[in-house]
Amino acid sequence: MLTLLAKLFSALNSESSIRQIALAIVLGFIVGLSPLLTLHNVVILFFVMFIRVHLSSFILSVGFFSGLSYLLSPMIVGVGEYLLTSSSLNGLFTIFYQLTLFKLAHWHNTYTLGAIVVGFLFAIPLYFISKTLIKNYRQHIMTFFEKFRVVKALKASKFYRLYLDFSGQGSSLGGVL
Amino acid sequence: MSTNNIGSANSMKNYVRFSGLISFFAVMFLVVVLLYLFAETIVKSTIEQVGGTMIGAEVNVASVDLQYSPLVLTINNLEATDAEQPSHNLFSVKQSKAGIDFWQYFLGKTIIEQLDVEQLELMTKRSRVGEVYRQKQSDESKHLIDESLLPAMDLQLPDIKSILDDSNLLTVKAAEQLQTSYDAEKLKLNALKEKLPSKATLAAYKIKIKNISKMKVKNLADFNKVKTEFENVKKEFNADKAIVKKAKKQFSDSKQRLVKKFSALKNAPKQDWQAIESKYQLDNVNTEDFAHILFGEQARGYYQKAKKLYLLIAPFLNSDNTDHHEAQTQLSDQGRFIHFDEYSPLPDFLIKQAKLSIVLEQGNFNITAKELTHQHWYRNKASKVHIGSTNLTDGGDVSIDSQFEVTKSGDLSGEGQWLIKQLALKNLPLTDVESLALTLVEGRLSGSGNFTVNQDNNRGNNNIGSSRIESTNLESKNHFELTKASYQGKADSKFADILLDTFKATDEFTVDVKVVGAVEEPKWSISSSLDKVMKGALKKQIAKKLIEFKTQVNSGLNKKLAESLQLNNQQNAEFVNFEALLADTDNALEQLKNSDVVRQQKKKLQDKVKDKLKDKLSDLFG
Repeated sequence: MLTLLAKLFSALNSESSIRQIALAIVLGFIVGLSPLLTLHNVVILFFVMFIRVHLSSFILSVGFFSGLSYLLSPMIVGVGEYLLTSSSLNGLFTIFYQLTLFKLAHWHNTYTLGAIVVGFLFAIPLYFISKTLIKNYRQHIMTFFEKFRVVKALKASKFYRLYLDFSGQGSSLGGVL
Repeated sequence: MSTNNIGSANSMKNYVRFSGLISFFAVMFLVVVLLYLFAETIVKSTIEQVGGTMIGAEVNVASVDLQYSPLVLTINNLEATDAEQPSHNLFSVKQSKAGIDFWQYFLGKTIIEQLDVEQLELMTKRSRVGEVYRQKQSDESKHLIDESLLPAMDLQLPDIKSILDDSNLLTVKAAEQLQTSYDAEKLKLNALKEKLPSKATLAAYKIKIKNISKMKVKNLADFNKVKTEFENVKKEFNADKAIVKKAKKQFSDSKQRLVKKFSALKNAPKQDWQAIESKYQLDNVNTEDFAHILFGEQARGYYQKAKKLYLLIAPFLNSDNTDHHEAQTQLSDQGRFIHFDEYSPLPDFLIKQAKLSIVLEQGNFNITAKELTHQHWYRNKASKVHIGSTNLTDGGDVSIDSQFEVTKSGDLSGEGQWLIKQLALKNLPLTDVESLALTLVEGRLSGSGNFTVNQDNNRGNNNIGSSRIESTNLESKNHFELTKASYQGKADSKFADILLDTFKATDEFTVDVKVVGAVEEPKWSISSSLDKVMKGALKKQIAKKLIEFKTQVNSGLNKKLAESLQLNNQQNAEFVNFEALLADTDNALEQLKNSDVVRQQKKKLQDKVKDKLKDKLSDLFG
């Protein structure tokens, strides 16, 4: 966990692409909201591995949003319930229901469908918010915190040594991990 | 061109991570390989654990083979321990093979195209004692046997003394009632008796009449005085006569009441005997249903086993709980599955074809089944099961055909026929109770029967769960014929002796079993050709004992009657005396009332007047 956090801070402080970190957070958000072992999560995992996104950010994002999903579950279930029981969408879902893939992906489950819809709906705003936050962090917050004595003290700690280890390889690995 | 290629490759590298792709597929491959390697172990372990939980005892599987295209699951040497007898298997199967629809299984539906079960054996000995997880059930079946009707059927006649001492006997009660009535009537009559004119009063009346007759009547005034005196006395007579009349009426009423009580007392011993006969079922012995006593337990035992099986599967026969479009009740934060109409719907569980070979002591049996499911409405096909014998050890033939169907609302309907020809039976326990252990050493069983099961929606709660069972009706008629039979057994009572001897002397008999009514508690009707034989033998044996008992009881009752009647004879004499007294008093009063004293005095006066007139006329015309 400590290593993952160190990697995240390293990425935030390094020259890693802001887009890669923001995309990792968004994909982690989608995976984190829905039940872990679902078909669409495997597909997302495929993209996470295939496209250059920041893996540590993704893992931390999954962890964070999985926890948050417990609080959001009534809303998620409500969205899925509304869509699946809506009489106007009944015909459409009846057609989808004939597809093995639809049932295999559990999209006729109110939680799973609700999580996908909420996940994709908030994915784009979250992407831009993440980008802005990371950018602001790098420009203002990092510089601001550098001045504090406590930060200087922290720099002498084990955590900082780990952080340095990863920062030292920042140019070669930072972008990848 | 090459610079462009290198540039685009670098640009692509900025977005794509080929090493990640390799890692992804490597992980996926690892997962698949692990699943492939451990799938059989996982399935084996799951069967053992789930099976063990279901039957409450150890389940062992030698090995499991999985074939993936098409998906075929093969279970080798499955042994399920009998929880009641852990040294034996409840059942064991040498090999069972199921072809499963892979995709449907992933979608939560178990569709088995072909199920083959080879060498299903019952109660085979285990190589080692199996572990039992479930607590031993209460000895319900044993209890049933202990409560057998047989021991009670031994001719245990009640104690005569306790019968005769019973204060509820009608003879005793009638005697008490007669005595109470007599006392009450006696009190009333005594009160009247005191009001009746005494002998002294009657004597006084006589004197008064005598005095009136002696009165001198010289003239009309004297005569009128006599007449007045007599009228006064007559008024007293009338008053007393009214009392006598009232007493006579009271006596008549009392007599009537007492006669009724007396008559009841006389009939009481007869009624008492009838009550004793009925209470101790002495009047029933001749018509006792022996076949029911002997074969009822066995039949009910088999039925209980079948019912247990039915109750296990019954919850699955209920209405389609996962009905499409119908909202499921378990709304929670975890969400729920919403089902839609399928263009080609399939049941949740379906075995399209099954073939089982069973090895029993009598030989091999084959079971073939089609469309085994609990949701027949999806494919609109009934489940059909055929059981047939092949190469029975000692010859014979068994054939059972049945089919059943469950509607969407959960209504179960089914029918079946069975036929047995000359099936060899060996060492079959017929009854094993304290007083009689009877075993059929060998015999040939033939028979036929049928059954129908349907839903009676007018009965029971038709909603969900076991309530459907309440409204399930069964009707079954079965005829059995046992020939070339020989028995052995042990009897510990006279009655059991008779049964045993009768069996030993009979080498063939028939039994007819009819079961009608709710599956929960059907009505049984069992009759047998043995009934007549048994009745004859038993009747002869118990007749002597019963007559002796009847004589003793009746003698005791008659003695009680006689004692009561003796007491009543004395009281009767008192009544007769009272009746005579009433009659005497009434006669005396009547005589006095009808006395001609006035007429006599009148005649005397007339005579005197005539004499006087004669004297005067003779003086005038002299």
